[in-house]
Amino acid sequence: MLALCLSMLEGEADKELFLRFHARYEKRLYAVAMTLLGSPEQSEDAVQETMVRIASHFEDFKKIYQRDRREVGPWCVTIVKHISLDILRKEGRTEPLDETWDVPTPDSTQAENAYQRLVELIRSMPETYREALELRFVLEYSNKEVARALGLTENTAAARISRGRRLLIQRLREEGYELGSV
Amino acid sequence: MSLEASEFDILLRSALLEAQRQDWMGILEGEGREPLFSEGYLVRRERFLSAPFTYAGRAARPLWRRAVKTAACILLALGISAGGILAVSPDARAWVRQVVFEWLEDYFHIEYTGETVDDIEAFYFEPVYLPQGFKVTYEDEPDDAYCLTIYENDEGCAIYFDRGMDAVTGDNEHSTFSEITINGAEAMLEIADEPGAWNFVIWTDDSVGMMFQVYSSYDYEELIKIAESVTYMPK
Repeated sequence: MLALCLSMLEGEADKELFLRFHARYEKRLYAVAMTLLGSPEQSEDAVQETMVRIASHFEDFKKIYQRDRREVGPWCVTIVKHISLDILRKEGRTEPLDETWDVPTPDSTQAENAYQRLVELIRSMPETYREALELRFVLEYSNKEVARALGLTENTAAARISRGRRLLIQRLREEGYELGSV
Repeated sequence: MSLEASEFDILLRSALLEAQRQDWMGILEGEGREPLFSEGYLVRRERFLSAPFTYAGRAARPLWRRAVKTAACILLALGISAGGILAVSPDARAWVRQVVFEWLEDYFHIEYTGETVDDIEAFYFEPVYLPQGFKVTYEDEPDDAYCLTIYENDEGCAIYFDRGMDAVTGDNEHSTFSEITINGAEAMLEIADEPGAWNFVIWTDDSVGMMFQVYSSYDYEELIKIAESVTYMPK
């Protein structure tokens, strides 16, 4: 009986936390989706699907929330961005596979550390690789799940993740950052 | 900086999130304007937020699990009552054949499995009867999936009419269910136990390949009358 009461209390606390999250992020996620999709109706669908996914993986949400609340915003933006890109893909509104990478020049006025440079490189890398890396490392999809999400074979998805990761490491090394045995 | 592969992956995860934060900083850190959400979205949101984890659990459940639960549901939840009806009623057999009906601990789920329509003109159904004072305040542009119309009276009471849904999910902890017929077709009536909560009438018309529902906090007997008056009205 005590276990049942505790689980009910926990359920109510989770719901309360989710409702607070929803109230805080709904319009922000909508703004992200609108930027990518340009359609109010599709943006509503993207936000609804994002919220449903977060509710269905609420333990993942809680882990992030408890570890570092500053990660909650970028984490849920990663989800709505992927869902929006998926809508564009299904409508054939995405660019064909783009491997060109206009690498930004390092800021010579201040000594950057490898982490700051890595962030800059990610921001400039082709979306093809970035999305695969986000699904794998931020949303913690398996290669099989990444393949399903991107409409690829498992081998192609694994190759894309590996190549995206390697491109970043290679670029950092070329710029003189020591990365050890990565 | 000397890293092992796994340490780099932890750094990469953090950098991917930071890159996302920087890309969308203006939106994430600003207050922004309140979006003008559509009525359809607001209805879906209200349903979702009333029981977010139940709703999400239903959405995330693989189809094969639904099928297994459906078999259990037909055997256990409908039980003798449904068995009796199935034995004598061709309409009831059609209802069971064309819908997957799940009865779970705190919600029910109905999925339409019949042939669905792909012509927007097929959505031109309207109730001929409405209680006095109700008029259309919102109507979806029909698309190939779903259509919602909302009727409201001057007191702000709303009646919702959906057609073309693939599935319906609802609360079963705070409602009383009964089997009724709408123009000869098997239907489900859900009467809310609490005043002010929504009552539902849900039915299918296999001849047009569509599931319908009428729901509102309004008197359920009126909802049945509305459902019985639903007629194809080409525009």
